[in-house]
Amino acid sequence: MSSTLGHGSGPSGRIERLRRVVTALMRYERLESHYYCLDEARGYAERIIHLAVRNGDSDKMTMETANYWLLEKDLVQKLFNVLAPRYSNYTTSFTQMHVLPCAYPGPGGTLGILELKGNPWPSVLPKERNTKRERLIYLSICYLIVKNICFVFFFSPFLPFPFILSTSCMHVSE
Amino acid sequence: MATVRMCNIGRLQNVWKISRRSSYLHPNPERNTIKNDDLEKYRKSCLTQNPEKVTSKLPDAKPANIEEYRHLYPEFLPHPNWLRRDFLKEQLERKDMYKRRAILSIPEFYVGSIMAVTVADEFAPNRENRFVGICIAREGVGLDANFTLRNVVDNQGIEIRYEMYHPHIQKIEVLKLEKRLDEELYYLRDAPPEYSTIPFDFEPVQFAKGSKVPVNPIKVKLNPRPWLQRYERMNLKGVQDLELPQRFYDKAAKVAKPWEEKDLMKNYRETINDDEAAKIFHEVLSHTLDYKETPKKP
Amino acid sequence: MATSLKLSVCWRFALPCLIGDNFTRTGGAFLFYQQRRHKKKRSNRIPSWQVKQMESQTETGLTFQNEAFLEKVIHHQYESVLKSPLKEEPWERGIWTKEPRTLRTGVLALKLGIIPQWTKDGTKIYTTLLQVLDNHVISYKSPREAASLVSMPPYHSNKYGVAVVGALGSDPRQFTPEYNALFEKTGLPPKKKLGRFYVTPNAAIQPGTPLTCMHFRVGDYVDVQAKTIDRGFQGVIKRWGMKGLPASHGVTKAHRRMGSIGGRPNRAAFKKGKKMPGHMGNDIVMLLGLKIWRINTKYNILYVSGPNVPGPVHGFVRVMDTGLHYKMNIANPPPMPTCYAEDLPEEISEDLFDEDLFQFSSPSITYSESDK
Repeated sequence: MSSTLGHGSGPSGRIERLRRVVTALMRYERLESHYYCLDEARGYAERIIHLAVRNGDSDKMTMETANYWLLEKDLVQKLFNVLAPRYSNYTTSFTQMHVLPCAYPGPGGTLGILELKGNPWPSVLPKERNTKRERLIYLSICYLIVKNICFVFFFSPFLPFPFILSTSCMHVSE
Repeated sequence: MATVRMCNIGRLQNVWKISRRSSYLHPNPERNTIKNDDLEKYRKSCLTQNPEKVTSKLPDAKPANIEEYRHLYPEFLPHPNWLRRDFLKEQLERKDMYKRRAILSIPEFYVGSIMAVTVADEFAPNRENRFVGICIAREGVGLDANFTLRNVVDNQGIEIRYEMYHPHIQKIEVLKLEKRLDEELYYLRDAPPEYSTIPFDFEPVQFAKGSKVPVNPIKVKLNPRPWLQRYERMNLKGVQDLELPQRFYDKAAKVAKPWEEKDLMKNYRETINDDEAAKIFHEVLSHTLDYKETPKKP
Repeated sequence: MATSLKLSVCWRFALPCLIGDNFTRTGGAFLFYQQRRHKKKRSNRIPSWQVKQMESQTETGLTFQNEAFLEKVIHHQYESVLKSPLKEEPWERGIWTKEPRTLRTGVLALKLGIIPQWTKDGTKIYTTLLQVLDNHVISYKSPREAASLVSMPPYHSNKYGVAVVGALGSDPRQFTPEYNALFEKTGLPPKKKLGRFYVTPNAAIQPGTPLTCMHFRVGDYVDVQAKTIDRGFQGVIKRWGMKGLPASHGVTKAHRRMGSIGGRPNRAAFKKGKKMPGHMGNDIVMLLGLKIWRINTKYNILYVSGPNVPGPVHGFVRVMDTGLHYKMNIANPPPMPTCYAEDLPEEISEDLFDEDLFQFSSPSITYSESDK
């Protein structure tokens, strides 16, 4: 069997490939690869975690399934001892997918990211800015400054002050 | 509607992949149909004339042993094909099933149990017909649920498929409640008649309520070949060693698909998941009696 | 399925023919009439008169609270109309006649699935569930007004009026302003699906009238029309039901093929309309004379006989009174132009059954000694 297990390796090759992807996901908790390959493996990863959360390691069937799907056996321990407690109260999915921008020039295949939620890496997406709230804070600070200097008529939302307040706004916007 | 092809991507629901060939002229090729989730939203939306006040969604519930109920009430679980499903239709079908079960008590039975079915027959002397046999298969979803009884009468093997919700059925008795090592016993057709013969005056065997259903570990010895099916490819447990030449087993190994039982998503797509099954069984239990009763003597 | 006769002229030496009446000879050439069967009515082209329905969806950027508020506003706007949809006094009710033919409006239903039922003598029948989802009449045009419509075929003009029925009231924000303008007259929430029915003047129906499953009665016969499932390019066995060739006995590479396509006289030109592989499905098909065995008044569902209603589950279906003369109920004609709420008794049971249908709440069927 080839190392890449793409087209031509048959249905058993497909399962082998998915096993490798699921094993890698459990180990590294974030993978970057072809989008559809990751999308296909996503369901299997979710299913394994769901079985582990619901049944625990005492269930024979769950243990056999985890043993089959995770090629590296230390990950079986990680699944039951680390991941199952992490996801025990989740009502949403345990994984998340992102689509990466198209790498140009290149072969043109869609690339994507598959990650487990609650992973230790920095988030893929930038934090959302609440510009409305930022503006309100900005205005209130300007008002206080102007009030102290007693130049109330210069109070306008378009003051040419430098944006030293941006970092403080980022923290507040959570 | 455009051509639809099922995508074998590992998703929780089946995916409609639209072929562009016949639908390139219209920007909305699915305009004649509605998806399941959208339909549920429309049924309850305030902009309809009579929004459904009674939700077609079932209350959250978790009965203890779902696996047990999957074998007890298999026909209440709908067909897993997402494209064929409609919550309202399933609900209405279940209502009809409850009504019928209130009149005809359908006891707990499994493949391998010995049963007697009394059916209204216009042309029989007593206008009734009673058949005793061993249950070899149990199939069907909803009102289409059926089971097959096999017996050998006057050296002639007979199998009768009874529809469980047919109005002609007067009584279903379980004379001996037990399970076998296999889910289907079609190999009895290639076994000596002793394994399928059940006397018509078979005495009901008492079964203690609440105890575990006994599993009959019998291993059937098949007749010499030719057979009706390729039993060496089926992984049968209730059959003795087939004693075939090695080439049969080699071909069976070549043709086998051992990865299919490990394929989590395939199994998930072909069954109703536990959360939904739990809700359905909760509804079933509230409508039907608990049928783990001892079979009564006639 | 229309058949059209095609006139062909063949400049050939006329051989003694076996076809008989289909031939006429004129001098050296002969004319023959070729029946063109199974003409398909498939079309995915957008008609020129059709109004664009869907607005391209863009992210609104609204907060949850604003979304909820907007939904309340929209609901408030349509609340009063939904309670009493008719703006004017109801029109005069016509009388159903067989000669001249009466056409009532039909109904747009959604195919839910297939359920088996049993008759009182134990016969199993498969029934299709059709849910009449939130139907209202959107507009009515008398025969004279309808004659000027672009889409009106000449053989129907000045005979039949046209009623447009809509199903599934939805949020107007997902539709284009031109589409929403269609519903301004009635004031109803815009419908997701529209369908047209030919209507005779004595069955003239007022725009805004709600249509329910009680438009039909148990025991009535209906015609059901829908687009079939698109099966794509299919071979001759699935498409036309041909038998193919044997699996063995020397057959080479031709197990699912047509075989011969003609005989010697037609060497160069086999018959037009010969059944061959091609696109199958996505055609408009009408099933005639289906019986309504049962009606569920709570959910507006018709149980219609047969498992073969065209289209997939959750596909829209046009349901109308049958055109078959021998299945029309002359003694007990249907309510004209439709069944209004005041026609029904105050309390109506949830399920209405045909007298021949076995009800699951009744005891099992038995035969007594005296039955023969």
